[in-house]
Amino acid sequence: MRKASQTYQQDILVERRSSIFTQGEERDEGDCARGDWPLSRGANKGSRSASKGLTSASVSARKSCRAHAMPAHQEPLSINHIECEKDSVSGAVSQRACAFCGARVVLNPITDAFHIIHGPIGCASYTWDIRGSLSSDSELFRNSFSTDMSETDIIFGGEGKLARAIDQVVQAHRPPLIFVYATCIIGIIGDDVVQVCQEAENRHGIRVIAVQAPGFSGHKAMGYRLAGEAIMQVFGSQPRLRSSGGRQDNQRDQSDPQDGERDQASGINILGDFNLAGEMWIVKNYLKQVGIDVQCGITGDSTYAELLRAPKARLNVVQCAGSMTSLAKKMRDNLDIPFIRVSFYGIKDTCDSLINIAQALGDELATERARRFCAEQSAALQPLMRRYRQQLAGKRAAIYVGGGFKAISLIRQFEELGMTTVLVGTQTGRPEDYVQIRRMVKAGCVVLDDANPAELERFMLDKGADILVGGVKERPLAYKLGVAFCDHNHERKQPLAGFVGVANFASEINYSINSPVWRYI
Amino acid sequence: MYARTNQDASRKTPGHNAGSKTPGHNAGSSQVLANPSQTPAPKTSKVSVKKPLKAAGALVDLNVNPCKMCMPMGTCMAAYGVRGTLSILHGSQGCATYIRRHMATHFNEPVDIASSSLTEQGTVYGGEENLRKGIDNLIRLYSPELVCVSTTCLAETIGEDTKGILERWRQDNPASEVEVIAVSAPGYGGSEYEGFFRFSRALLEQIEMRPHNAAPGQLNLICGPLSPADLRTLKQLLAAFALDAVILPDISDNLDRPHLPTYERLPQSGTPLNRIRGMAGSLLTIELALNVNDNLSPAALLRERYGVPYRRLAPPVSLRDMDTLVAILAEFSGRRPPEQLQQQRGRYLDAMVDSHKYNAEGKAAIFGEADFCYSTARMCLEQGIVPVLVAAGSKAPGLRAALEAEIAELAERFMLDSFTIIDEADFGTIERLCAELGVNLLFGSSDGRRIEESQGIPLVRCAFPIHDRIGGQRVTTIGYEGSLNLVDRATNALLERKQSRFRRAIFDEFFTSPKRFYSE
Repeated sequence: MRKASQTYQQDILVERRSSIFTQGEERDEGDCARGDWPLSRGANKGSRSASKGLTSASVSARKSCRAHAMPAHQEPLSINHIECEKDSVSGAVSQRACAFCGARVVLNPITDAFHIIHGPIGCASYTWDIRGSLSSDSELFRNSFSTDMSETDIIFGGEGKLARAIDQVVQAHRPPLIFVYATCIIGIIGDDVVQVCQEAENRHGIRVIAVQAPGFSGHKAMGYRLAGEAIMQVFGSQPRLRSSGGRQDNQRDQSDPQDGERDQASGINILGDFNLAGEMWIVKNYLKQVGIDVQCGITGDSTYAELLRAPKARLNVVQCAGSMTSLAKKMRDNLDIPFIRVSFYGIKDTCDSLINIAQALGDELATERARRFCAEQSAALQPLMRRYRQQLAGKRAAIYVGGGFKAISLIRQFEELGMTTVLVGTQTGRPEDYVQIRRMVKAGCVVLDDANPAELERFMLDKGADILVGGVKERPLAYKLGVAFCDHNHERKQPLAGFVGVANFASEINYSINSPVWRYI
Repeated sequence: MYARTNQDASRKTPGHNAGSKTPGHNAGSSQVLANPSQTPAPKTSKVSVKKPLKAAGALVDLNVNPCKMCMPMGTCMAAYGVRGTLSILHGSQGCATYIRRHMATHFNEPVDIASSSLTEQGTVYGGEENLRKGIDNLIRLYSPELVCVSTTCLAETIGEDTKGILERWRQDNPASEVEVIAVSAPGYGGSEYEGFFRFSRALLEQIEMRPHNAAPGQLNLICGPLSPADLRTLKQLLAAFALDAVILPDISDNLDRPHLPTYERLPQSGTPLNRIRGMAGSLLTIELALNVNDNLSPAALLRERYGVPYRRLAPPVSLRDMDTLVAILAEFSGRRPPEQLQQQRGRYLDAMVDSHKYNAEGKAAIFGEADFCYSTARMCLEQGIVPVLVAAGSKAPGLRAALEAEIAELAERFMLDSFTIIDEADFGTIERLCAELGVNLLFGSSDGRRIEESQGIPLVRCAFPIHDRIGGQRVTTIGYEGSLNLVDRATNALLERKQSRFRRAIFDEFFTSPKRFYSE
């Protein structure tokens, strides 16, 4: 069985301690289903335990399961507070990306937009077609366009090159919408990207929107906010109240084919679904069955024309809360569209979400249909779920994902499979997410914000995790530690949302956890 | 000709087998195939862009789908070839994350690269505090022997004095045994290729070199970005000549680690620093890279400072280039090539003959780093595969002159009228040229998958990065056996295409009665 690295002296950096919390003081001995594994590391590691900061007692396996109760002499942690939404600790190998990354992933699925990355080549290179967002129309969004700034451009400025590039794009392709992402050095060298974009809009009569997302302006969550601001700009510079139709204040509405027919507010927007493996389509199909119109999906499989319809919706439903809450709040404040949080991961969350949406719209017929539909779908899944529960009951899951709300859904999904969550971490979770997570997990579960590989390694081993749910960067680490892995990330090729996603998720977990390869490890 | 016939044929009869033409759009294809006599109405009005994304002369100020990466990628990868080394990127958080993601999916290995996580404040007032804290934290978490601080676009543009910061760090940590080096790697200053060599060169410049550490008869081998499997091939080759060689960098184990009972967070393999110090006392340096100038070349530095002579060779992908390397090693070691090596060579020759007619139908596009393009093109030219498009993603001034005459000669023999050699190419351009030049075989990274999809051209994935297939770390291209493996993959790609298409193609071309339907 796996042992932890022998090379480290201190797994947990001092400045990270307040971002990690172990649930409860009481430990259930039964928690240690894999209690036999680390016996061999006892003396070796115990001898160094004094220098380990957070933990002081990882001597034996059974003890290691309770290792993370905070020793009395350590700096105290507030029981109800986990530090999050802070800058990453330098040198700690954070799993988070930068503000540019956040903006890029949120806006990228707008399929007929030109996404121009203004800066040196790297940012475009590493974000080219790496996500599993599907399109029913244009494939333009799968390209990466970069001004590929060279040393000379840095010295003399890149405004001219950017302006020319936009002109060339308009001439060659005439897209309805262009996003220009300004990366790290653009602001530093003084390029006025907003001005260049404004001038291009005036020149060509199409939307050219600057997304000023230098990596250093924050981590991914900052990028989400910037993307939200960009989407608000797409809707129009003036706030358009949903009842006003809003055509007069924005001449660009002419490309909206539905305008005029839709003076009345109707339907919903789905925020924070990026149509990974067609999940937006699956959710839309459910809503159709229930009888709820969708104005626009933001941003999965959306187009410029569809985005313009979004302000007319009656309700926003926010799926990926981490990336879209800021936009939802802006749309609430400026466009008078209320929002609710939803999740389509897992049977319970999918059912609750469909019913909640119908209820929030005050549509009794739809609510009734949603109830019936969910009951049918859940019932149909039960025989399969029973089989999976037999295969998976008692297994221990570690979760390390981007947003808090997704983590919450996953904890529930593991419960549905009879599994226990022993580790929960997120990159961009918010205080309220962590409060809810802490309410859901069992004693002994480690909860941590912005984890680094050293911490993941440490806690996965200490907690005897059987499987990790995470991003592609974490996959090789899990495998090296002899831990199964679930690809619940943006590169997935099979839908994990909705009822079909429940089955896929269970199958993914089962294929990995119960693979015979682990017998030989 | 072959390719054109097929394309035209399938366009003539869109009713059957429409699914096979668009491998990227699987949704409806099984349905179509199950009932070939009916054409279901398309679900959506799919706008298939007929015109190339980047037409000739269009979008000249845009790089459309980059065929290169940035310098820090190279420094981080090379750093994995020195024992106990960790990289920290001085810049925004995203650089480290993207590079980790790229390397992790290619090598299928945990990749830990730290970041100084510069914030707005650090950008305005300087990032010294962040960087120093980052180094301290990295040392605490990993206990490395060497910390490589690479700059990024951001650090360079705000004018960070990284070397000065490290100097002050050393003064404040006099007891630390950890070596710390600074590599200047602005993303706009070159590609991952330059970054790779900048790491090796900076290492030789900044650590204390000890010529007396050298073993008697020691050889230096400077490598570019080869795969771990290729590095193992080189090590076997050196062992076959009983040579004591220092390889810089040697990523063979750290980026293709065996599964062991204990997971070491800090990679334990790679060339040890004490051996690298001894490179100054070697008798000869062999540098397997052609696209490096003397300002970038680690070998040139070793000659300048320590008088170690060097030979600069192409990565030994082709028979000729491997022969050259073998001859040099034989001469240097004073030993004849071992029997085993001669047998490998013989089998390679045998395979070349076996496959030559299949390969003659190959019209290849080779894209990526200049050295990769050059060495793969040389291999193709030996097999009779015409490299009708050789496209380096970054600047490669010597590429055209190095290949033009030989490609022209083969093209003339096989009666092909046009071929193209370009550098600073993006995939927008490569995609257009592939169509124009009738390419039917692609060599390169998985970034060629879009051309594979849109034009139905098989892609031999043999360069970094490979995201959509397994085994990037095991790709072999060099040495007689590695090269043979590469050729077999290429030949089989051509054969697969031919085998799966010839019945249909001939039917479409010659069967004229409208009444019968051809079904497979």
